[in-house]
Parts: sequence; structure tokens; C-alpha cells
Amino acid sequence: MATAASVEFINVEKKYGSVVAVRDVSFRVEAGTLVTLLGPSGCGKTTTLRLVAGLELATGGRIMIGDQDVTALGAAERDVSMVFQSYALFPHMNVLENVMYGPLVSGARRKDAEAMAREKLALIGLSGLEKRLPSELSGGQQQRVAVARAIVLEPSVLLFDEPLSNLDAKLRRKVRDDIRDLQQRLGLTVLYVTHDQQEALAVSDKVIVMDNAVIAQEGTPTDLYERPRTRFLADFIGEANIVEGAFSADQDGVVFEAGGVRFVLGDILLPEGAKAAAFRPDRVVGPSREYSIEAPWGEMLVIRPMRERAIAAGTRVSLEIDPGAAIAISG
Amino acid sequence: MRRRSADRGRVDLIAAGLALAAFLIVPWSYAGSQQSGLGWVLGGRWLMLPPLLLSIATGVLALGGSSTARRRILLSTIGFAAVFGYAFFGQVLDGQPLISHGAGAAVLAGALLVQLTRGLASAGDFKADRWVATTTWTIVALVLLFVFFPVMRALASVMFDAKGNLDFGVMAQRFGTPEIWALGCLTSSRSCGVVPNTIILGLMAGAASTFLGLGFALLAQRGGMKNTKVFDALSLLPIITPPFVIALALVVLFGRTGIITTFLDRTFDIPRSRWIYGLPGVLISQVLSQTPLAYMILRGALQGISPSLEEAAQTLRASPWQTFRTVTWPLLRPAIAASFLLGFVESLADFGNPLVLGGSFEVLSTKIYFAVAGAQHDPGRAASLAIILLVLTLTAFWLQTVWLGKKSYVTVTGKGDAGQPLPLPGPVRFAALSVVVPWVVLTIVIYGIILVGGFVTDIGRGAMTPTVEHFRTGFDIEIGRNGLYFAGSAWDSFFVTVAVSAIAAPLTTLVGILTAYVLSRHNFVGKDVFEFLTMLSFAIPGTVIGVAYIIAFNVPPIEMAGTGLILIICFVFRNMPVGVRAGVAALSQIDRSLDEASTTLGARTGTTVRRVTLPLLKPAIIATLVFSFVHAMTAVSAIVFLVTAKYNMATVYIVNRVEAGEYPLAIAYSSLLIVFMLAVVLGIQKLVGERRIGRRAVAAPVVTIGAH
Repeated sequence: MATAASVEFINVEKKYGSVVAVRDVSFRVEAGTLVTLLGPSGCGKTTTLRLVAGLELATGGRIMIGDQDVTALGAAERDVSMVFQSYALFPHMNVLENVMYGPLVSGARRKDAEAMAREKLALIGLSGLEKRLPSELSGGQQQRVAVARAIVLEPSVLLFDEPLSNLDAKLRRKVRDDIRDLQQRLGLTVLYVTHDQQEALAVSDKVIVMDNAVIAQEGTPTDLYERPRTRFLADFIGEANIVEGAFSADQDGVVFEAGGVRFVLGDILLPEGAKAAAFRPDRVVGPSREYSIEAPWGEMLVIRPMRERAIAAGTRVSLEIDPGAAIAISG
Repeated sequence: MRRRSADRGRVDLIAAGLALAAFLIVPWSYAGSQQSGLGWVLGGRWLMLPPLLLSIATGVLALGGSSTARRRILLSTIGFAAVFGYAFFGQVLDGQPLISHGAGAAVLAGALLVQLTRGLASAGDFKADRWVATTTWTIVALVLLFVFFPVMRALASVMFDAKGNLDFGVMAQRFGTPEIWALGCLTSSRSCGVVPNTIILGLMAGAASTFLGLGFALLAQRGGMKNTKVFDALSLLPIITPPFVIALALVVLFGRTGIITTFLDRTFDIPRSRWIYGLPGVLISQVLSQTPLAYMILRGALQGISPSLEEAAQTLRASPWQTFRTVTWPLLRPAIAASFLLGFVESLADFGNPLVLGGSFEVLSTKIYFAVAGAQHDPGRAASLAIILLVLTLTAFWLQTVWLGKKSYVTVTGKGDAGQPLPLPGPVRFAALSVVVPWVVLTIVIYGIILVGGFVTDIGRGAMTPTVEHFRTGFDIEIGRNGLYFAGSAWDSFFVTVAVSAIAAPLTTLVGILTAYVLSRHNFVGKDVFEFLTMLSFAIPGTVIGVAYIIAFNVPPIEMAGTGLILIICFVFRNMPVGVRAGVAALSQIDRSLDEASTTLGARTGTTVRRVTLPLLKPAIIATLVFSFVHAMTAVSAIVFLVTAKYNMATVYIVNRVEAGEYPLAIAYSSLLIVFMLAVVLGIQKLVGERRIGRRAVAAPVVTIGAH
């Protein structure tokens, strides 16, 4: 149905006075894919999203949606819709009026606008709630109204700004899956902002990690988890023990030395200027305990299942590390 | 779905078309000649033609889209400047006398302004938002024309002598006279100059009203009172009470033949005196009318102090008195300073009370009035006094911003803290009660006098025979052959007052709320200056504005003294800050993402404002409507200069009755006004007060406080 379009940033920059919120950012979102912008607060990911929407105008570079250069267009002129973090449902309009709003202000006739709104409300499973005011809905329902309102114009790009942050923990997984399902079913181009790496890894075709106004790394969720390029990325995505040390290569492959211990890492990718190795603690299913262990090269985080007996503080333990799982990181 | 395509200069062309049509048929002037712009041009004023041609050229250029933006800005700027240049300096350019400007001129200037601002937006200003650009600059132009220009023009007149020649000697003389600065009253029994008088009165009124307001606020919030409705009722009173009414009641009570004076004379042989005329009387009446405002400020501050702070102090072993002294009191201090400064400024601006009760005790506001209205008629001297009053007022406001700017402790959080506020320590409660109770009694007596006074022969002389004679004089209605005939002498002023207020209120609301919207939702270069300009008229005392209007708008190019229009414009720009404040407060409660959601759904800014922002601002809009209406009904200081026999206002009519010694009629009329406004305020509250959006209650109408 929707004519999904790609989004492309070409050396985009956004400055507020002398503060740079987005610096020389380039990326491409393929039509019909879901891409997340991930990063800690203040990294520029929300600004990037707002630049796509046209709520902020770039101070440098070009923004393309499909074949159209939209750099100078305001939000009302772009074929982009957004689901806001607060949902931003109009409190003085009922559910139907909220969803009809887009077609109405774009010049559709009332009857057509209502038909379009009802169709999307049915699609999203909200039929029957048309006459309710937003304040009479649960958080999850409000969120779905916001989605219905955003897709009613069948935008070529749909934006989500931290859509799960106002939901309770149990609802998050369901809504997350619903969004992914909807995106796949309708073939939408979705750009999705979150600070939660788990959420990002779970829903995305591609993840763009931002830090300090620039892109730190982009790739598939697997790429990012298994091959983080920098210390920041290794730490930010998944848990990681970062060990400072020196790399060398001999007949066994790559060797890493730290705190007087030699780790034979074997045949791994060694980035330019690698100075540390990251070891992911074993994932544990179900409830777990976290231990901090003093190793010769520094502190290590170890996760064990709750069902094992607890180990008292100060106990001497032995530690087994699979050197093949180590990731060499730079910076 | 396709979004609407960008506007291709349609509005610019329509503006040019309107300008052309108005130029051909609409009278150019407001007063005097009925000629259109074309008529003036054919009559030899060729310089009036270029602005129209520039507007048409701009309109045609706009069809070329944003690539012509720079040329359009240039043409429309020249055109706009040419309109004003000719209006103000035409004499220099073509040797013909200045002419009055009205509807025709306004349409042309407006069209050029619209074209100019749309050009600016096309070139990227205001985030390329044409609606915001036009709205902002229109407000700026109006404020410059109706606040900044008259005030500057009036202030400049201080430099000219009676014949209109530049004379700095006269200026120095005006500023230097001991009449203004004398300090004799501090050291001897001689009287002081008008500036020391004004400052002393202001300081005393500010301190006393803050002290009393604090007592009321502590009792209402912490005094363990079950019913605080009395306090809330008292806080409504000054809003609907014309400023001189309390002075009137004080004369009835304490004047030479007053009720209490007579009682004391007969019973205790205390001789009659005129003590109430002068500083004591003015002070008492000002404190009576200002205390409720102080109460509202301080009660708000007390409510803003989270009970958990006091509970924290108590869990740290502080006694109630220690808690009050070390936590509550320091947190209250900024509000106390604010209340004091507001009381000071209100006292400076007050005109009605000193006029009625001042006697030989002169303050700046009355002195300004007599310099213009009296036998001497000396606008230059009035201007010199106005400058001093303005400087004093602006200093107080400046102090408020530097002093309180960063000291507000009011914690604004989403979640309310649970917990019980600390009850008042015993001695504090006793002290508060002992000042508050007599005060409440005095207030009730005063309003009682006003309500009863109209129905007896002469309450000021103790003649208490019931009569409706005063109401018949003022408000008689005869039934003649042609239906009802309003024979009473006060009807004309009453109808004019209601009509002027009813026209001014929606205009005030429109300008105020739009200003608030622009201020709180958009960022642009020069926003600080814009904010300062819009708040300027709030800081300027009414007497200064009145003098300024009468000096500036009595001669071309803008000639409207003596009309109803000048009254309306005066009210719109005096009360506009009420709307700005209410709007800004309400907008800070409405998340910006609602506007943004509307924009991403394809709505232009104008549509967003109309369909999303304004509906959500309804409570603030209604509050502004009510307050600007009531402010207009009760104002006296500015319009006392602007009324005429034809367009007289209720308050001025009453003041004139007081000056003529016709107290009973003045009291009767005052009571009618108070009852009328009470009905309006309560009626509207009843009508809309219960309206809610969803289950969440909408914030109560914001009470804003303005200088009279």
C-alpha cells in the first residue's frame, strides 16, 4: 500500500549556535526496512530523527527522501509521519478525530478522511474505541492510536521516537513485536530511535549507533554485537569486560597479553591500533547473580544462574575464558 | 497521500489587490477628509503613490516563488518605509502639511508588512514559517505604533517649551524644581516634593500590603481553618473594584462629617479633623486594595513549598518554630520581595485613591493629571513628571528581574508530594489573626458602605433615610411612545463603558494570546527585544500612557483623540500583557509535541494554531477575556485623559461626581458597577468553569495581576 521510500543523509550537520548536535552524518535507510538510531542520551539521535521529519532544518549537507531533496522543506511539506515519545495525541479530540486529523488538514473531504481513519483503526485493532478521548485510554491503547494516526496518510517514511519508553516492562516486548510486525506487513520504511540496545537489536534490520553527534558504527544487530569497533561500542551494546593489553601475532595466530597472562585468540579480526580486548560474559537464561572478580589484568564481570549456590565474597575462584570469543577493539 | 503543494505567492498577490482596492475607494484618513488615497494623489500628493506601486510589484514578483524573495524584501521594505516616511516627515519632502492616517493607510501599510514578512520567511527567516513571521512582525509594528511611539513622543515633549521650540533650559527647570524633589517633610513640618511623597507612600504601601497579605496567606494555608472561602472572596474583590471606590468609602467613614468621625465626636468628644485627607488616607486605601494581590502571590508561594521539605526538617528533629524559621520562611522570601515590589509599583501607578483622598498630599500620578487637565495645561511639565514616574517604575521592575530572576524556589515537578503542611506555630498564628481579623472587618464595612450608601439620602453626612433618588438620577428609565428611554444621567457613560470594554476584550485576547504563542513556541533573532516591547506597556503606569496618547494622537499623522477608537486601542495595548502572561503560563503546560504532531501530519502553522493550540488554550483565553473586560471597566488612570463628553467612561463619570461633591450618586454608581462585574465574572465562571477535557481537569483560569 504505502509507497515506502529510502532516506539518505549526505554529510548532514545541525548546529545550535556554536553547539553541534549532529556532525557530518551520512547514512542510508533502504526502502521497506526498519533501522534504529541507538545511542546514549545527548548523542544526537533524536535530532537526527527530527531532521528527517523536518521539525529541525539542517545547517549543512543534504537530506534525500526517495529521489527528492527535502533539505529545505518544512515538516508539513514532507511525506513523513512520526510517532512521538509522549504520543502527542490531541487531548481535545477523540480517537477518530485524532486519526482523521491528517487527511482533513491535507484537504481530504470529511467522509473520505473518516473512511481512511476507520480503516487504519481496524488494522491496528482499535475498532470500537473511536469515540473515546485519549485520556480514557490505557497507555498501550494510546500508543496504538498514535501509530494509527501516523500511518493514516500512508507516509513514505514512518518515524518512531522512543515509542516504548512510556510503557511498563511487560507491555514493551509485545508493542515492540507489534511495530516490527506492522512494518513487515505493510512494507514500511521505519526509522526508530531508542537508547535501549536490547530493543534495537531485537527489531532492526540495521542499527546505527551514534555517540557525540557522529555515527560510531552501523551494521546489522549481529555485526554490532560480534564486531564492535570501539571500546564505547563494546561497552554500550551488550555487557563486556574490557581488558587493556598488547596484541602480537605468532604461529598460533593473534596473541593478547595482559596482566602477565597470554591469551591465544587464534584467527580473529585485528583492527588498526587495537589496544584492548573485550570478553562478553556468558549469557544466562532466567534470574542471575553478578560477580565482580579480581583477575590479574583487572576486574571481570561474571554472570551465573541464580539456581547455583552463591559464592561468598573473598572466595578464591578459578576463571575459564574462551579466547575465541574475545573481540579486539581500538580506542 | 500527496501533501498540499507549497503556496505560490497567492497571499502576496491578494495583499497587493486589497491595497489597490483600498487605495481607490477607502478613505485614507481617520479624522477629517473622506478622500481615498487616489484622491490625495490627484490633489497633488504624488509621494503617496510609490508605496502602492511597490506593493503591486511585490505581489507580482511573489508568483516567481522563493527565488524572488530577496527582491521582494527590498521592494516591500522600501514601500513600508515610504508609507511611514511620508506620514511622519511628508512636510519636509513635499512642503504640504501632514495629513491624518486611517483605514486606507492601514490597509496599504498592512499589505506591505504582510508581503515583507512573507518575503523574509521565503528567504529562510523564522524557520521559513510565513505565518509566524507575519504574526510576529504585525505585533511588533502595533506595539511600536501604539506603545513605543506615543510614549517616546510624549517624553520628547519635555525638551520643548510652550511655543514648541527646543529649549534645554526649560527642560532643566522642569526637572530641577523643588516642587519635585524637596525633602522638607523628613526634617521639619514643611511638605515634601512630589517624588519623595510618591516613594514614601510606595514603600509604606508595599510593606504594609505584603505584611497583611502574608498574614492572610499563612492563615489560609496553614492556620488550620476549615473554611477559607472568605479569603478567596476577598481576593476577587480588587479585580472588580474600581480603584477609587475604597477611598470613597473611607471618606464616608472617616471624613469630617463621616460616620465614625461623628460617632467619636459625639461619644468621646474627639474633635473632627481632616486627617484622612493626605498620606494616611491614601495609604489605607491603597493597602486595602493591594492586600488581596499580596495574598494571592504569597499563598501561591506557600502552596508551592513541598510539604516533604518541612517533614524532612521535622524528621531531623527541628521544632515547628525552627522548621518555620529555617525552611518555610527562607523559601517564602522571594515571594515576599515580589509582593513588596508589586505593591510599590501599584502604589506608584495608583491614580484614583490619591485623587480622592490626597488633599494637599501630591503624588506623581495626580500631579501629572493636573499638569495636563488643570488650568495650567503644560504638557511639557506633565512629560517631565511622567519620565520620573516611568524611571521609578522601570527601576522597580528591573530590581525584580535582577533580584528575583534566579531566586525562585518554587519547585515545579510533575508529581505532587504527599504529606501534610506544617501547622503554623502558635505565636505566629496569633500574630496573623490579630492583624487579619480587624482588617477583614474593615473590608466588610467598606463594601457594606458602598452597597448601602446608594440607597440612603447622604451617607457621607450621616443622613440615613432610605431613598432610591440617586439611582433615579443616574439610571432612570422612562417608558415613552418610542419604547424605553434611558433618562438617567449615567446611562450614556455606562453604555459606552460596556461597549468599549466588550470590543476591547476580544481584541486584547487575540493580540495577547498570539504574542504568548509566538513567545513560547518559536525562536527567532531579536526575541528578547520582542518580549521587552510586549511587556513594556505592562510596566508603564496608566497616567503616563494617558498623557502619551493625548500628546501623540492629537495631531497628524495619527489623529484620534476624542474618539471611541482611542479608548479601545488604549485598553487593548494596556491589557495585552494580561493575555501574554495567561497564554505563556498555559502554553508551558501544553507539550510542544502536540504542535509538532500536527505539523508532521501536514498542517501549516496557521492550521495548527487554529485546530490544536487555541482549543487547548480555551481556559486561558476565557480568563483573558474576562480580565481584560473587567480591567477595561474599572480602569481610570489612562483613560481619564482620553474621555470626552460624547465618549465618557463610568469610572471617569464617578470621579467627576466625587470632585463635584456628589458622593451619593458616585457611591450608587460604584455599587452598580461592582455588582455588574461580579455578575459577569461569576456568570462566566459558572458557564465554563466546570468544563473539562477528558478526566483530567484543565488548569484553573490563571489570575493575572496588572498595574492599574
